Amino acid sequence: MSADAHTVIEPTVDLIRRIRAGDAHAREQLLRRFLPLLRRWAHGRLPRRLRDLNDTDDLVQVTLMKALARLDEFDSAGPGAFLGYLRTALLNQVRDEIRRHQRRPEHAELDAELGEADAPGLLEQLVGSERVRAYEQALARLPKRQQGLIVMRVEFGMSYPEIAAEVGGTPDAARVMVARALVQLSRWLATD
Amino acid sequence: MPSSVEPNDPLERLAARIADDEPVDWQQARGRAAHAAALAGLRELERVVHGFRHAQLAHGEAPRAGRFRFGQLVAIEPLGEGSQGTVWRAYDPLLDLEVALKLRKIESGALAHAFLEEARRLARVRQANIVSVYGAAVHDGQAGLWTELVRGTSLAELLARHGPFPAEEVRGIGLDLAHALAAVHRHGLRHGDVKPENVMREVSGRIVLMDFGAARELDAANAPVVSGSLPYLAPEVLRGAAPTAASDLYALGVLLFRLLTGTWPYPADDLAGLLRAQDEGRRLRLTAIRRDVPRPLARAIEAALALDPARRPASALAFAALLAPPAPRFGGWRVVALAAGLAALVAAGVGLGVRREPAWQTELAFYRAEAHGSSALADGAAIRLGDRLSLALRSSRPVWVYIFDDDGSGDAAVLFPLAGLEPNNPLAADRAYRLPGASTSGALTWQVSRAAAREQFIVIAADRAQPALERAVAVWQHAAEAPATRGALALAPAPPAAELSSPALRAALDEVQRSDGAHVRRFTFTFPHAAE
Repeated sequence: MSADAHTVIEPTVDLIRRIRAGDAHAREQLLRRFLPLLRRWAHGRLPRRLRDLNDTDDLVQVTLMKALARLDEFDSAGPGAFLGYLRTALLNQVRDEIRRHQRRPEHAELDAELGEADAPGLLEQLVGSERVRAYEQALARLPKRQQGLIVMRVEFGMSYPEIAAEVGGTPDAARVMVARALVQLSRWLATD
Repeated sequence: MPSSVEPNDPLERLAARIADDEPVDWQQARGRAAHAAALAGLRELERVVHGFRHAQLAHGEAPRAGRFRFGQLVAIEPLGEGSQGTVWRAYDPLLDLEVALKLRKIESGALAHAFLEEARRLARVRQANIVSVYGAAVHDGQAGLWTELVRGTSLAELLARHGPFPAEEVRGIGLDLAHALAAVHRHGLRHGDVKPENVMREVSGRIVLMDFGAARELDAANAPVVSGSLPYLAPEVLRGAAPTAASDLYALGVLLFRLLTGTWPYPADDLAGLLRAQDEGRRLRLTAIRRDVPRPLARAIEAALALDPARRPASALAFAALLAPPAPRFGGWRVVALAAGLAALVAAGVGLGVRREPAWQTELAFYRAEAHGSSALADGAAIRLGDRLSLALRSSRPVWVYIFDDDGSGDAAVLFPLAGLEPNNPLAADRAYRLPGASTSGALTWQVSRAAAREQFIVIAADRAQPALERAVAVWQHAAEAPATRGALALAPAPPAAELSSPALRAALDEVQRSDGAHVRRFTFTFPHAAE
């Protein structure tokens, strides 16, 4: 495996270190890496009315910028944690956005029609809000590192070489770690 | 592609499959008595993961880095490096199907044209043991070829994990790959990179020949690119000759040798050592390493490993015939490929068993294949197990020919006509035929493969069609085409209900002669088996 896209990825922790040192290029790189990924992710989590491309882009960019601005506060819980952190920030942002949107009177009727306080995102439509909630709760019970692994593989659809670049080790090892984390997660899903 | 490292824990293995979007057989998982609650949790997880996947794929905007579009396909993750590019797991939203997408850079328009031409040829090669090609395109200087996504483990990985394979499994793999190569060669292509890394075994057990990255047209004028792995390259290719169908057979021989022994026929550290070992004829003997390998199987593999390409099996199908397990019954006959060179000997049949009439002349004579050419076999001559026989025949009128064998055991066999072979009835007038005929692999013979006291051949020649006999033969042959038949070369045992017994055969033949005797001739040849 020589000069291939997935093998030359610089681990995010290294990028963050360089950004903290004031490296504008590293900042660019981080944006380029995560913007499309988070955009896609957010697209699946937002209600249809908010799923307009510009809205999604705005939301994701704002979140990413905020996260970068607060890098000093960000307490690195190890490799892979930054993505988990970004995801949480983005999820909060999505929820804020939905609440803000629902307060607008012109949408009151439509929301009433939908019959749900939380207008469902695509994911909720696909698997049901209950199941998504159970998943979120189970995820929150896991150690940060395992959360990161699951988010990278399941939610962001990253390949094992990409995950390995984030957390260290080989792609094979990353695959085993993801599997292990998923078994832990499924234990909490089963008890519900 | 499943990773080479599988988690030890069965639940983790299930979780890995879910994470990789692989199908999970929940029925089987339950059968393995895993904890019910844990399985319930994993099933829930599977639903959530599917949800995320579909949410990711539902909208085609702004593909992220490492997840890009190629035409209508969405590349999802790299599976590995092929011989000339990267292979991606990709999603085809039109077919709603995951595919394997192989990409490589194309610098010129001529190259793009050549690539698409090759893809067209590959797409025409449809065979169960060859990866199916779905499509090909050139976009933005990148050539892409997409195929079925084979979910399984390569033979190389299986060898590394479990050590040498059982002999019968190797025989099956050899047969599958020989038929796959026959299909490739029939389309004027060669594979060029046959090795365990390029053969997958699916979960179902299906053997799939992959990675045609090195496949080039057989008659391409340009110098060959040596792209296969060293030990699998035929000696003549190592010395600069263009790869051929025969060099594919050599590679297959090395592959089978390796599966049986875990080593190579010419162990060497580098090219120089390999060339030296070949020059000095220092080849490891298969049966010296694996005593349990049946001799015919060992001989077949060693035939493919011949240094001189002319001494290898004449074609992939001929190799398949050598690999095929001895047919256990059906009159003790196998139809096998004739040694190269014998086909040219077909000449006017003269000699024994000849009967002449002014109006309608028929000449026929049996021949036995020898090391060089063949010799006429007189009626009453002794034959041995393994002898390969053929019948030279000429008629002054168009003729319908039926040949049967009765070895005195009570069973009989149809030896001619045979489905899928040329020629077929009626045979043209005034032409020298050598029966049973030929398949795409060349001339064939009947091989004596069961001990008996004698073989009696009954040859029926008719100068007009014999519908009753035709129907009877069709029924007997249908019975012979049991599912156990592999390819066209080995005759499989008939299911008992439709078995052709000697009395049934004689009754049918007597009936034909009784009703249309003027147009039917019957010749009988008896060859006793030599005492061993």
